[in-house]
Amino acid sequence: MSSTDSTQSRRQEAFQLWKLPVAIWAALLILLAITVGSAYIPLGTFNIAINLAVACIKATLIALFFMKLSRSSSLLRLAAVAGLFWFILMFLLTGGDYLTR
Amino acid sequence: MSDAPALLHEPWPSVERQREGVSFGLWLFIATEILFFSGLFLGYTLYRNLYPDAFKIAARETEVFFGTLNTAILMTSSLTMAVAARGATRGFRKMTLWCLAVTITLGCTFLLCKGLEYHDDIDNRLVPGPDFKLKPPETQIFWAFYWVMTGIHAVHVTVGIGVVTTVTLLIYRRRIPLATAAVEAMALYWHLVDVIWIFLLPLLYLMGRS
Repeated sequence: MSSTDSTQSRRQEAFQLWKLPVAIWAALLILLAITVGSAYIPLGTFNIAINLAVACIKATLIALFFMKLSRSSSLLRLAAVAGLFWFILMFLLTGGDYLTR
Repeated sequence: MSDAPALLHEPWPSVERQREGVSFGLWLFIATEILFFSGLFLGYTLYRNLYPDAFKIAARETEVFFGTLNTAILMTSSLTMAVAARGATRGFRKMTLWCLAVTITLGCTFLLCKGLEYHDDIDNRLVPGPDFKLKPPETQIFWAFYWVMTGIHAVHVTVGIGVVTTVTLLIYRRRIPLATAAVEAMALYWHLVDVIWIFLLPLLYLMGRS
């Protein structure tokens, strides 16, 4: 009996393993549908704004849950934010020059 | 048990610290990758700002069907990769190997779709040069970004497939333990490649559709 019980609990554990990733995956596919659908509605500059906002939400979902930043140590979070920081700095400094000429 | 491959290596005092060290190294690598791609994203942004109309004309020629399909394929491969990374640390050997195999297959499917798309693009004379079909000439700048950005991304997918295949085979042959930190490391890399594609989709495929 105990081996059937452990198989049962093992199956339960495997199910638990899939739950969160599948939920995130479903959310990503819904966001993909929104972004592709909205691209065909004429909204002027809002089109690219919506599409980039959706892309940022998708990237955040992947970073937090697939790349596990939601449960990572501060060291890993800091390393992730450092990459983002230099990225923003590069855009700000270059944009501050080229986009204001 | 003596000939079982060891999980803990020098110089780490514990498996947890080793795992943390591997992830930290990967996150530093990801930071350099973000900066590498941000040069291209920045160039794209500046030229788009200089020639907004030409970029809209040029972007209408990309194939939304392949772009969207490939996004869904990469997202699904990220799902199986995430499950593999979770399963590996909890001892689900069979499930992890299956998930990794599906990830490899989806990665190859992505490249196949990309190849079909490239074939159409070349047939449609969308390679910058004397034969280029669009006017004004600034549309070639958009297409130069298209080829370089998707090309470098495809190289990343190819490298990912190679690494995942190698690690999967090593685990399958029991040369390295299932709980190796390598699975988490390549999962981080695979998700990064997915995230980059997520930003390529609106910039290269969805612009100028309305």
